[in-house]
Amino acid sequence: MRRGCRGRALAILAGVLIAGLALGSPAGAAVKSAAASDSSAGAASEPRGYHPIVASRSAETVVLTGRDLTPDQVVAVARYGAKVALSDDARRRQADAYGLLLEGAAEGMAIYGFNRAPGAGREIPLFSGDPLSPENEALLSAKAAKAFLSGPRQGIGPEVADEEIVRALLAVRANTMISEAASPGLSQVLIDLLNRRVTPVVQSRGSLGEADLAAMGNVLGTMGGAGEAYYQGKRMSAAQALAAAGLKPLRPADAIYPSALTSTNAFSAGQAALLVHDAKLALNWADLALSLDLEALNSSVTPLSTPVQSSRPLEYSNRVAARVLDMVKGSYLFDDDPKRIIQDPESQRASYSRQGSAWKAWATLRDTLRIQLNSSDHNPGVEVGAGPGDSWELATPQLRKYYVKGGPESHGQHGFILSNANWDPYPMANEIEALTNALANMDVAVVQRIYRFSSTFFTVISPKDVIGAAELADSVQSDVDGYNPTAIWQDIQGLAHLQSVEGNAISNTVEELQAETVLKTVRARQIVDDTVRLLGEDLLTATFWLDVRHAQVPDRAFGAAPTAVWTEFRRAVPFRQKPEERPLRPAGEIVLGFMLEHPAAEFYAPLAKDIDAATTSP
Amino acid sequence: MNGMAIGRRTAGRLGILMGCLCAGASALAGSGYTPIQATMSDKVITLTGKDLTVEQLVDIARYGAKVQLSPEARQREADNYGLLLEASAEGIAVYWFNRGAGDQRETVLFSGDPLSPKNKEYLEKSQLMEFKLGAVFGYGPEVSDEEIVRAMMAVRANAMTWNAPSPQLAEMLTNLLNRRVTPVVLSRGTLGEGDLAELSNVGATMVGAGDAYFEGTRMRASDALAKAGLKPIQPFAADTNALTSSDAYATGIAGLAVADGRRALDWADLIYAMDLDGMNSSITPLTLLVQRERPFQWLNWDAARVRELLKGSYLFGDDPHRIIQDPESLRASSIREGSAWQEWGALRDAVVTQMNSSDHNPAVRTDLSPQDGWDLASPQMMKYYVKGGKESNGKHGYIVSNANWDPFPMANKLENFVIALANMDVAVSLRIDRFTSPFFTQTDAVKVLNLPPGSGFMLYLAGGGGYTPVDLQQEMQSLTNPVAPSGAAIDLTVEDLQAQTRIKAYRARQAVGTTFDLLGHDMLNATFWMDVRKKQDAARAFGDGPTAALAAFRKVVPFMPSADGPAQIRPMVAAEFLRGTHAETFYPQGDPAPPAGVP
Repeated sequence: MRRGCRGRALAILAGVLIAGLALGSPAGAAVKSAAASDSSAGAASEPRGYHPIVASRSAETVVLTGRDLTPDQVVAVARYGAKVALSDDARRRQADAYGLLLEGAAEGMAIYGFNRAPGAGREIPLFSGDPLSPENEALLSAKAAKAFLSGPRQGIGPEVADEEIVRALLAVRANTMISEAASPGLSQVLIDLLNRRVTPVVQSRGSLGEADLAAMGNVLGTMGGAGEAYYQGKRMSAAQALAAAGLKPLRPADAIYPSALTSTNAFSAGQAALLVHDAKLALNWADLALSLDLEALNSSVTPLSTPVQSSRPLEYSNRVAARVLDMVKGSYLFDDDPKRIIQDPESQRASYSRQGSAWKAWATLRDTLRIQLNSSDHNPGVEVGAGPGDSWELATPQLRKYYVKGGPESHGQHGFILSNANWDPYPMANEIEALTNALANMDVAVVQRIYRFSSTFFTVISPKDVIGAAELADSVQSDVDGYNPTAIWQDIQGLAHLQSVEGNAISNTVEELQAETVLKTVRARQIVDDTVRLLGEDLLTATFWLDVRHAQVPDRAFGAAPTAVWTEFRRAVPFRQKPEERPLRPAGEIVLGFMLEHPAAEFYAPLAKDIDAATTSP
Repeated sequence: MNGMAIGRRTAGRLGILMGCLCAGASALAGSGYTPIQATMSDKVITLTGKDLTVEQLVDIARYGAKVQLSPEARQREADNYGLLLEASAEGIAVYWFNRGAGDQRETVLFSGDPLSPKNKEYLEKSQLMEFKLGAVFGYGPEVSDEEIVRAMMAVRANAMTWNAPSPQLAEMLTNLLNRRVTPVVLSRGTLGEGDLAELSNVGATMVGAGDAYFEGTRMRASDALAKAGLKPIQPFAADTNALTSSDAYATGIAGLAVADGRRALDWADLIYAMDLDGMNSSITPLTLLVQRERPFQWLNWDAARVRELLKGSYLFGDDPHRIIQDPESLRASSIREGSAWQEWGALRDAVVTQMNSSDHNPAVRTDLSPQDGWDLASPQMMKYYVKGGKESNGKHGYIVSNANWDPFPMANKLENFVIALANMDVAVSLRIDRFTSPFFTQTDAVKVLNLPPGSGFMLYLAGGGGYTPVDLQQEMQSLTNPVAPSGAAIDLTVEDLQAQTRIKAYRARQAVGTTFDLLGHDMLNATFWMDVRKKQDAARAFGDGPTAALAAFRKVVPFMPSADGPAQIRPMVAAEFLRGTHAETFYPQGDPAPPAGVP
């Protein structure tokens, strides 16, 4: 049965597709993954093909300050096993917030999700007075112990099959939780899970894309020793995993406010960090592949030239044009050639425009994510040190109800504890879809430009005009399946649809707004992976034509960047190889492996920096 | 439907729905044509090609303001025209001039000096024929809003100053705008990049072919020109290309959507404040402290704005009956509204750049020399270098093929804006319905108002709830899915990429209209509940902005409907009130300035 988009997205989340394609991971993993079954959408137990990480950067430590975590650092921790540590200031801020929470309750203030029930129970008192009084502490500890046990029961399968996704969640939460009232014990166990590689079993569904309660509940279970987890990639009971890692389960007394851990969007934000990282690698390849296409078509470079770009001040398109022009500097394209056509087909001519627009969407998401990764997404907000004089509204009777004067639990510090809507992960949710849409509008140009090479109306010459029949029969092009670019493109079309805007009135209609951010992120990650595959087909076509152009005029020069790609590529995919000697695998899979093994920046150094970094502009 | 007392723009939108959802025009020629009210015809806006604003575009398109080219823009256009003639005289291949268009890109149409007797005769004849044939381009239904056609012409008149039209073409385009000769334009037939069909319809009017409206009355284009005191032009050189190779149709619609979108969002913020007053809300999510935690500029700005609107409200007083936090829709409204503002800002910036730069192929640059860029001195680029001579008054420059017709990122930004609006509107539609439950209001309006039992239907009519907000939200849902990216390989596969900007722009226009309709319901609901809260406690204050908006609204829509009163459809009157009244009228002094268009 042909699965719909949702089924597909689930399979992705279950790791069957994405894990192997994770950009930057060894090509071997991609091959292994591609061979895996994709039928895990309905799997109830351990996903077939769980993908543990390769902890190649476990010697590194990322210091979490709550203020400057980057997507690349999330990738270092999540995908490559780097360790984390809280900065001293972060540890102090977190402890202060926890103290203010305790003090707030002790002073008799109503605190949502602590001494008041969550959701529809928002006005129901759960306890009163000092949370650390013997009676209250016993009550809250018993409740925490129950929460540990209910943790593994939350959510809906299939399980997340990529360890990196769960680690991204943990890393993001460890950073954003610095702003919350997390107990020192709770904070430490979360960090320990990352650093000792105890990775909870997490269900992929059950979040509405704002407050990933179910996924975080799974994590809480592992912290308390309930349910199952992976220790260094091996599945076992959570209690065994903690023991194997030399850790003790979280004490219930340290989890009297478990909401500090669970009320967050870390599940989607973590995946968004992987998305931003991987999308940059994909877009870098798009720019580099375009430079090869220009060489391959004997293109007219006028659309990238100074007169055109300087009259249309679109920052990202201008930057793509400048970098691609720089890649082909020194090429025969700048020589006179009476056979060169005055202008290319639209897809090739406008590729820089679509790529620039995709970069623009990427940069907006990156900037949005930087804030999302480094700010509170929790309700209520705990504001240590804030006073009624900070803003006019804080001095009003309504706000003073939530002012903590300060006392023993807060070591005398004052502040506010305020209900809010920080769980609503906008604008990030919109910007993720904006990137998806921009990538689809780029990919349509990529798929079209591949097919234009089949017509001498554009290429002017035919390969057989310059390469002998026998050699041509043994060339890589003879293996290429002309359907593949369209097949990939059709998948992209299916993914480019928007997640329906939702408002299901649940929890007695209190919780009636949803953001679907997890689904949006999964979809965006899949479109990034499909984009890389499509660019692989593009590369196959372009490199073939570089050989043709070379055969046409052997002393032709190509730009340094495309030359470097072509040379390296021919080591992986020889131009001429007898059919019986070729690997019995689709050429596209081999190209994919090549692209994963060689980031585009290897062939053109400025790609290592962000496209809008000041130093990138050639 | 025609009997309804509804405003001009509502009628226009209904026309859209009745005619063709995506085409935005009435189904029958001329039926329901909506001419503009030229209330700003005394105003003259100077087009420089560099700084046309969305507000100026609205003044021209919707309110009949006139236009003139700045001396610099006029000179640039004249220089470009000279360079174009000179290029051909120097033997340079120029796309869509001495070479054909589309798949004819290598076909030589003429060679040498365009002003030689033979070439001149050929160009005059062929250009005139192409302009006349412009009347049969495109596909119906006709565009039924005069403001859309005028927006297209205004955008083109401004951006064309970067291209090489003949002086008579440039002059005629501004004359059509200034004398209110508005061509009949067919709404479909563009692929959203290169609005050739629509702009060809305009070209037809310029030579007296086809039909046009003169001051809102339909007639033959030749009659319209005559009545306006204009003579048909003789197009020359590459005028077909100069006029039609542009995205002005979609850009014009997008510009109007940006202007209207701003007004809708202004209202969304103000009505949100009124909703908070109506709900006896807890305003903690808007406080500086909460906002400081999450430094998203547009979100912080929006929250500050709503907070300032409410300054002085009873919401800041203590009230033991106030719930600790509102339903999610009310709590998160400023986040969704701020996020919609963010996409609005990004769209505005994209549209403004699009309006003020060349979207034309080929590019004509009179001022550049080979030493101005390393690429320019290469043999490939020197093929397109015009050395300068008689026709260009000695000026040099380049004429090069390009892809400036690809209207990205604007095409993406249009869709992003619609998505953000839909993600805001879902919160709006939900917050309206939450007032039906005492679980949130803590109040029974029937008791407060001393109404007899069974007054539910009356309350339903008084407020803005019921089926319609959900219907409108579902309509928004239908507009949000992005138009599938398409690469139909046509024209011998040369033209293998489309942008569908026409569809995207009309969707954005409709999404803004639907948002106004939804906000009309929200306004009814908010004002109803403000009155209930006042009846509950007459001493309650609401903040200056909400108080003033309530007073103005009550002059148009009474608190309760009456069987004996006017048979008004209250939500439609409310929506018309919002469309006809600037929300900023009610904003207190010191409304914080919005951030620049970056997140």
